[in-house]
Amino acid sequence: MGHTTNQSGKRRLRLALLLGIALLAPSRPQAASVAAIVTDENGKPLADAVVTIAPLPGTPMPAMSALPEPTTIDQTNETFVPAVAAIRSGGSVVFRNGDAIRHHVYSFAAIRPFELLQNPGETSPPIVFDKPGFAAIGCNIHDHMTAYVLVTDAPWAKVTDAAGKAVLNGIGAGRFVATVWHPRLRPKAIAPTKEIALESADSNLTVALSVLPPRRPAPRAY
Amino acid sequence: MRFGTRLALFVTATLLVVGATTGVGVRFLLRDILIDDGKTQVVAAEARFHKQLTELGRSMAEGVRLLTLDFALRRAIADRDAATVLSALRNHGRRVGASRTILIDTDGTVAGDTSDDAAGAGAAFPFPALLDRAAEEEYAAMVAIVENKPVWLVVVPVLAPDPIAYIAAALPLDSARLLRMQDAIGLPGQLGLAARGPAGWRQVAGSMGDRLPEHLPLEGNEPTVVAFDGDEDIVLTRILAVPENSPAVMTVIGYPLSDALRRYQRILLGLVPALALGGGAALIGLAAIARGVSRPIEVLAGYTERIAAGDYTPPPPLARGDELGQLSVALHAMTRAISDREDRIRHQATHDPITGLTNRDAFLATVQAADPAGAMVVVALTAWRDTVRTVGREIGEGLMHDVGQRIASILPANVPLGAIGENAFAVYLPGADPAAARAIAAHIAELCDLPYRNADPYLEPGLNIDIPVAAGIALRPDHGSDPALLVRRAEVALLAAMQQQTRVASYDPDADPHRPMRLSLMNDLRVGLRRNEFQLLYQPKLDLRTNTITGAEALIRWQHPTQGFLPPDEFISLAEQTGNIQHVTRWVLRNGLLEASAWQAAGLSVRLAINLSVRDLSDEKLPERIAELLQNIGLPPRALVLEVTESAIMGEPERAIAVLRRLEQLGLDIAIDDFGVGQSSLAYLRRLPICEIKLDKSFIMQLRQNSDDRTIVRSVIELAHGLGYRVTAEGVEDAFGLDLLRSFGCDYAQGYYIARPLPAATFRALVASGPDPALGAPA
Repeated sequence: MGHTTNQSGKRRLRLALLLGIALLAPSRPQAASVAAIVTDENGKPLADAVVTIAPLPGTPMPAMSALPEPTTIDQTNETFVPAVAAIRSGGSVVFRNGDAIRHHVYSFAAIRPFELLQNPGETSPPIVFDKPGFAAIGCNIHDHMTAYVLVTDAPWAKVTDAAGKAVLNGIGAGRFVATVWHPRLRPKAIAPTKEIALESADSNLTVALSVLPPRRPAPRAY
Repeated sequence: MRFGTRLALFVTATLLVVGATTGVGVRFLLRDILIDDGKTQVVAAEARFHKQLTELGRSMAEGVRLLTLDFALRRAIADRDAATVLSALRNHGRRVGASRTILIDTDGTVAGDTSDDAAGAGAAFPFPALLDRAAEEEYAAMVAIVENKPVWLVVVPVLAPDPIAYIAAALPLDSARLLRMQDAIGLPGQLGLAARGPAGWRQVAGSMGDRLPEHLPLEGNEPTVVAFDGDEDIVLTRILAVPENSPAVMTVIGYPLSDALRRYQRILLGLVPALALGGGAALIGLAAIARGVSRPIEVLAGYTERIAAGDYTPPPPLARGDELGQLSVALHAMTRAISDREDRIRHQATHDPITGLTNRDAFLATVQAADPAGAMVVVALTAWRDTVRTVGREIGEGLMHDVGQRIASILPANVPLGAIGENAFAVYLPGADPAAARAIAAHIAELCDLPYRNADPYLEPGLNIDIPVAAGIALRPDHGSDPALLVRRAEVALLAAMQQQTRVASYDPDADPHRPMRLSLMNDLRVGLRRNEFQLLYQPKLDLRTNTITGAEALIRWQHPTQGFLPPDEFISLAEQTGNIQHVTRWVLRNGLLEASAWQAAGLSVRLAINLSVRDLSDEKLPERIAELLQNIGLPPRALVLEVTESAIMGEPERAIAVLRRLEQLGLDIAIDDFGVGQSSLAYLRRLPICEIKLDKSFIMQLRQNSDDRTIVRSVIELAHGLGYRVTAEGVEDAFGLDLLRSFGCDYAQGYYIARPLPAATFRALVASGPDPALGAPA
């Protein structure tokens, strides 16, 4: 795999946040979008990264739309789908067990601890996340099942797809701060932020994150 | 040094050298092998040890990881319920054998610690790198020194499902655990953990003790031979990965080379008795071999010493197929040869080669040891010398042998019999009295009546030889005890028998010329010659042609001062035997010639005849002496006639003839005296330079009665004349004989009828008176 080459050279840059933002075209007022590409240190597209864009502190918040419907996280084939969900503060998440087995979904997250024992096919009541932050969610029965819910106050948030891309639309001109978060950010690492100034044109945002390697499958019992 | 000892020493030394060399060589070789083997063992053991150590950490981590999965624990951690968490950690920590369990926040601070003397919550975990590693690799396990003790330190994140905290557990790596591990890997040596402190490396756990090498780390982490006090270990170290804040730790494994070597040294030492046993066996074997070689040699040497000492008992041959056996056989043959030769030599030394009888010396020795009372008989073949002269020595020896056998045949085996001379035997009859001795002697003489018949066809077959013998007897101890003296006395008796014409005579001390009285007589003789106790008588010799006295035979008389008148028979033969005859002859010559000189001066024409003895004829200076005497006295050689007997000539014919020839050359006439009694013939006389023979009186005295004598005398006279000799007849005692002799043509006559021997003056007067008509008319 490409990222394993020159490992030591890369390692020196492990904690460095490489953030480059290119403004490719003048933004039009009221109708700008940001296409973000998130990669790991090796330039490999990084899925399940959450890109949020918020006005610089001190600038007025744009008018927010109403809270959307609860986000559903399915449990399919002993996997949470999606693995990462980004919601606005006050939003809620519904857990739906699509498997034929029981799951014991829990989170010890400070922002919203909960615990759900779900029978097959059971859908939970919405769980409301009032405070910004993120919650790591697991299954006490199946250790390898993990999901993350990022709760943000930012008006724009999007999770990168398998190509590491997330397009955030409807952003007006102005100065913003972009934040990229990923569940495998290194411990004690702070999600990198970048100020961006948007005109009317669409912008491209490229972010390279230093992340932990994907967690290995759970050790087989022996 | 003896052969066996040398052999034993050599082999023992060889064995020792080989043993020592082998021992030393094996020890060094063994050491190299043990080092190689030890290194391999140490490397393998160390690999096993590390595998076990790693596995220990891994299983520990797995145990801790399992306990972090406890939902209640996770909730308690998430709820920050420290008291519950600590109690759970104590409980779960014990399960996995941890001595201490620490809960660490994700920010690296200690949230709880089961150790009582811990720094307490809020302090930074001393090994933050382990947290990162645990986050990345699910757990982190490293050996570390915590509070000066080595531990397996395992850090596991608590996932819910992201890390919400870390649990660190410490498993003490104490000496007991290391010993268990050492047992498990089967390491024969020491195993330890060493930590670097301010004063260098020191053992913190394990069994290294004071065997920890002084200088650590060892180079290249290769197995290395390290010396301790007299011991050697193979040591292998490995520096372990430790957290950054922990002192360095290494594992040290020691393999006791000396112990291993000692084990083999015990085997080597065990070889010493084996070697000694082998050496002993070799020595015994060698002793047997050396004995097998040296014993026979000693035995053979013993045999040779015995042979040298004269013991010829043949040695029992060694039953061996080797050289010693051959030597034994050769020695055996040599012994027999020496024995045979010595027997032969001894036999020759003690036996007479001709008769095969004991020789003189051996006989005397035998007699010496025999009964001191007995009789010695000496038997001689009286005509043996003549036999040898006429028929040869071989037959003479055959004769002696035959007689020896005859004598031996009648004697008991224990009677000593010896051949004591070329023609004489001696028999010693132990315990015999004179009569028995005489009987035996007579018996022996009778044995010889049978003539000897030569049995050898090559030596004049069919020859019959008469064996005239005489025997003399001497008695022991009457006539002496010494065997040689006895033999001599018996020989004297033998001579007496011969003289008496008998066969056997016993020793008569009075007749023995050797008896002391006789010897003193010879002394008297020499004195008497000087003192003129001797007198010459002259027996007239009548010339039968002229009937005148023309010669005289000088006859000696001795008027002994004490014994009175002694006839010539009394002392002449004694003087001959004792070597005094020369004095007598010289005296006779001088006085006779002086008388002849007187005759010459008186104008008497008379020739002087003087008798020479056998001894005189062996005197080569006699002719010179006579010539000188004649010259000194002034007489011509013709004035002297020398008379010799046949037997005098026969003793040593060559020398006698030589003397006679020189006398003849001087111009002296030589006459043969006593002709006819010996064995010589007229033909034999031809060799002699003589001009006259004197017929023995035994032929003349009985001319009247014996016609044979008359025939013989006439024949002899005719023959002598034919050969050119003059003839003198002796012993004429009557006119008949005188006339007869005259008729036979005899030249001279001598005898009592003519005249007895006369003193010088009487003889002179007789001659001067002229011819006696009674004896015939003068020519």
